[in-house]
This record gives sequence, C-alpha cells and structure tokens, in this order.
Amino acid sequence: MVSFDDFVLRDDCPIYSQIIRYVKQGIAAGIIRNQEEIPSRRALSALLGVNPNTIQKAYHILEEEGVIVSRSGAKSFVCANGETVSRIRMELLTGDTELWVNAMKRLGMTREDALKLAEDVWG
Amino acid sequence: MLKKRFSFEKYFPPGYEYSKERNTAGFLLGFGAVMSLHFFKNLLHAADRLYDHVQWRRVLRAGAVAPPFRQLVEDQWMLYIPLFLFLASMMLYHYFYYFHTTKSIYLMRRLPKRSVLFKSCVQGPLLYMGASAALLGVLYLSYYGAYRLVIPAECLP
Amino acid sequence: MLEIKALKKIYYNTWGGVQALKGVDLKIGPGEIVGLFGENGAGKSTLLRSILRLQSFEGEILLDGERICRKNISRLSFATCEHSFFANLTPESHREFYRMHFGCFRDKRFEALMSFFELPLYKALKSFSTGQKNQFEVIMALCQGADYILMDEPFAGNDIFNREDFYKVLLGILEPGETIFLSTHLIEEVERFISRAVLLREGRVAGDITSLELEEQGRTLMDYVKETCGYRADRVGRALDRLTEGEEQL
Repeated sequence: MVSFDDFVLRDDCPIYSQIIRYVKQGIAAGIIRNQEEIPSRRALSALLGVNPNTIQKAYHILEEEGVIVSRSGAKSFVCANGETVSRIRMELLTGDTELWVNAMKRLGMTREDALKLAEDVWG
Repeated sequence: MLKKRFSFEKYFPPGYEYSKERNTAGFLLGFGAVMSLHFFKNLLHAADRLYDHVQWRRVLRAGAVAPPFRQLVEDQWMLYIPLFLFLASMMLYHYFYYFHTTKSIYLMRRLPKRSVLFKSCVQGPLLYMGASAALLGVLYLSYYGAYRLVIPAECLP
Repeated sequence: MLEIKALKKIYYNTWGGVQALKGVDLKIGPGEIVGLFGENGAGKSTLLRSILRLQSFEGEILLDGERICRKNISRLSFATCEHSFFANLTPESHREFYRMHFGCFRDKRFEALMSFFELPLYKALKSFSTGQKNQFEVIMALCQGADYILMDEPFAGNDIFNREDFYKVLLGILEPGETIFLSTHLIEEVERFISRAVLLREGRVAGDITSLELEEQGRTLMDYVKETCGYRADRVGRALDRLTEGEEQL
C-alpha cells in the first residue's frame, strides 16, 4: 500500500496538485512501485484531513493520465511500467528545470552564468 | 428475584431530580391532612349540641338534627390549595428545566413525537394530583365513617 | 436536497424589530460538507435554528421537496456549543433515549466514537470537561441516523489536537449520503475539510463558493472571506496611526 506518512500539506499550492505530485515523485524515485495499491479516496481523505472532493479530483486526473487505475470496489492501483516511470521522471525533471530557468531569467542571468552557477552549486 | 421498585422517573423530564418535588408535595398533603383533623373538633361539637346535659347525664334532645357531613368539612378544600397550586406550578417549572444548564429544549423540540415534551412536563404533577386525590378520598371516607359512628341514626339530616 | 427559500427572521426587542435574516436562499445537496461563516450577529445560529424548526421564520425550507415536519425531522440532527444533552444523564442513557425516539440510531458508530475519544459511558455528563461535552454533543448528532447534520460552533473550547482528530475521524466515517452544515469561526482550520463555503453577512448570503473553485482561482478561504466582507487590511494600521499621533515611536 502506498504510504502517505511523509506527505506534508503546504498552503501555497492546490492540494489536489500536491497529491498528484507526491504520487508522481514516488513513482519517479522508485519508492512507489507498479501494481502497488493506493489508499481509497475515503481513507486518504481521513488520513490527511482533506475533503473527499479534493482527493477525488487528484485521483481523477491521475486516472486520466494513466498513472493509476481503479478496479473492483474502491481499490485503486498504481500503473507504472518502465515506460510510464521514464515519462513521469522526464515530466517532473522538465517541470523543475523550467522553474529554475525562469527564476534565473527573472533575476537577469545570462545562459552561461546560470549554467556556471549550476555547476558550482552541484559541487 | 428482586422486583424493580416503581420508579417515577419516566413521568418527569429526563434527568430531572424529582425527589424534592415529591417531598414537598408529600409535605403539603400531610400538612393539609393534619389540619383537616379539625373535623373531629367540629364533629364532637356538633354531636354535643344534640344532647341536653342534665346533672351528670346527657339526654338526646327530641327532634335534634345534626348538621350534614358536608357542612362539617365545608371549607376544608382550601387546605389543599397550596398543594395543587404547587403541582400546577411544577408543570411550568419542568418546562424551564429544559433551558437550565444545557439547552435540552433543542433536543426535545426535535423529537418526531410531538407529545413527548408536553407529557414530560405534566405527567409527574398529574400523577401526584391523582394520588393525592385518592388519598384524600380515603381520608374523607373515613371521616364520614366517624361521622356515622358518632351521630345517632335518628339525628341524621 | 435541503432548500432554503427567501428565509427571513425578525426578532423583537424593546426598541422594535431586529432583522436577523433578510432573505436567505440556499441549496445544500447530499454528501456536501458545507462551512457557514460570518461575523457574530450575521445570522448563522438563526439560520440553523430555523432549519430545525426551533424557531419561527418567514419563507420556505424544504427537505427533498417537503416541508420539515414531524415525519422527516429525524433526518436532521443538531450539535450546538450551547449543548442540547441532559446534563444529569449518562451517555448510555442518552443512547437509550435516542434509540427510543429516533428510529435509526447508529449503534456501532456510537461505540466506535465513544471509545476513540475515550469518553466514559456511565458517568453523568455534568462531570465531563468542556472539551468532552463538545465531543459528546457532536457524537450524538452524528449517531442519530440523520442525513443532514447541522452544527453550530461545535468545537468552542476544544484544543486544536482534539479538533484535528475530529475532522479526520469525521471524514473517515461519513457516508456518501450524509451532509454536514457547520457554522464556525475557525476559517483556516476547516478550509481543507469542507467542500463548500457559505458566507453570511448582515442576514444575507454574501458568498457561496466550493473548495475546488477556490483552488482553481488560487485563493485561500481567508482571502475570499476578507474580500467578500470588505475587510480592510489597513484598518489596524490606520487606527494605530490615529491612536499614537504625536507620541514617540519606538
């Protein structure tokens, strides 16, 4: 069963997208495995203290993207074969990189300076 | 097998401590009953008036008629006004119980059965009134018995 | 569906009439968790009490198309900060009372909640702490077997850990058909828990928004409330300026 024990709710971003991100990060990092069961909407709602509609929205989007699939009853399972994992990894990495690039641009950095900075920080 | 003692609980509001009310009603009834013993003074006085006192004997006067029983207990109903007034006011007091400490009136007014609230206010006092009336009935019946014993048959009105 | 149409309520006092509700229109569907917010005196308690027919009102309130009467009143339950239980009785006696008068009391849920919150079954409620009394009040509202559970500031006096636990347990046990309508001051705290927020201002509905809409717009509930109620954020600053005019500033 996918664990949400270390999931921390933040105020700066819609909760449903935080949940989606958490699941995707878990998959990309290999912590959440293929065919692993994900808590039911009601269970997750009670666990996080979050309204079921919000959970529903997150699960709905994850289903549409093919990341999870619902089977008999209220059970849902992660659907992440090798291809999906790679795709998600790329998606997250691209997204994070875009954020970084935009931050650099906002502060007026040139491309070369930004890449040099990245190398320095990487260590 | 222990038989459960008769409980007045269900005739009063839930959780209401009715012992003080029961004791006060009992006291007022007892007070009235004790005062009603005045009847015997009236009775003996009325009986006495049927006789002439000759030396050390008493002789029944011809044609003497005793006052009717009703007359001897005429004003006694007033002795029980405090009791019945008290019980009537308790019905109102029970209603205000639902506003005291918590607003259990909100619960009572949400009950599907409309009558529960009303009944819980009036049933207890009505029960006491009925019991009092019954006891008083027995009391005055015995007073009537005394009356018939004391007054000679020929002097009955 | 609970429909409230053109609800008005006037209280009369020695100086004339005070209009607590000036025309409230609201629809609440099954399964919603609705938060009712507003300043003191905005009419929240009046609204809830009118729905439960605990006071008279003008206008119409319908439950699935029918007026609320003795037949369907057991589909509504109530928990209030004023407490509506019998202080001299024990929780067990309350269970019997509810079972006797409301047909579909939820026994299992009652036992589970009493045990989860560690409330004694056989002690008189007057000996409970305020927090425990609040918990018991809410437990009874949840176990009555109602579809629409109305709560008027039910957590006044409970510490935050208590409240967080309660929201989570509630979310876990509520069935899809059960609806909560909860009036509270704790805007930030209940924000995640509710699915919809209704704002009452001066006896009217000033705002009505779902949590998902708020998320889409990137606003918090507090922002929404402040905007809708015309809260001036610089109010405090300006008042302080006036108060401290001419005095030395630290």
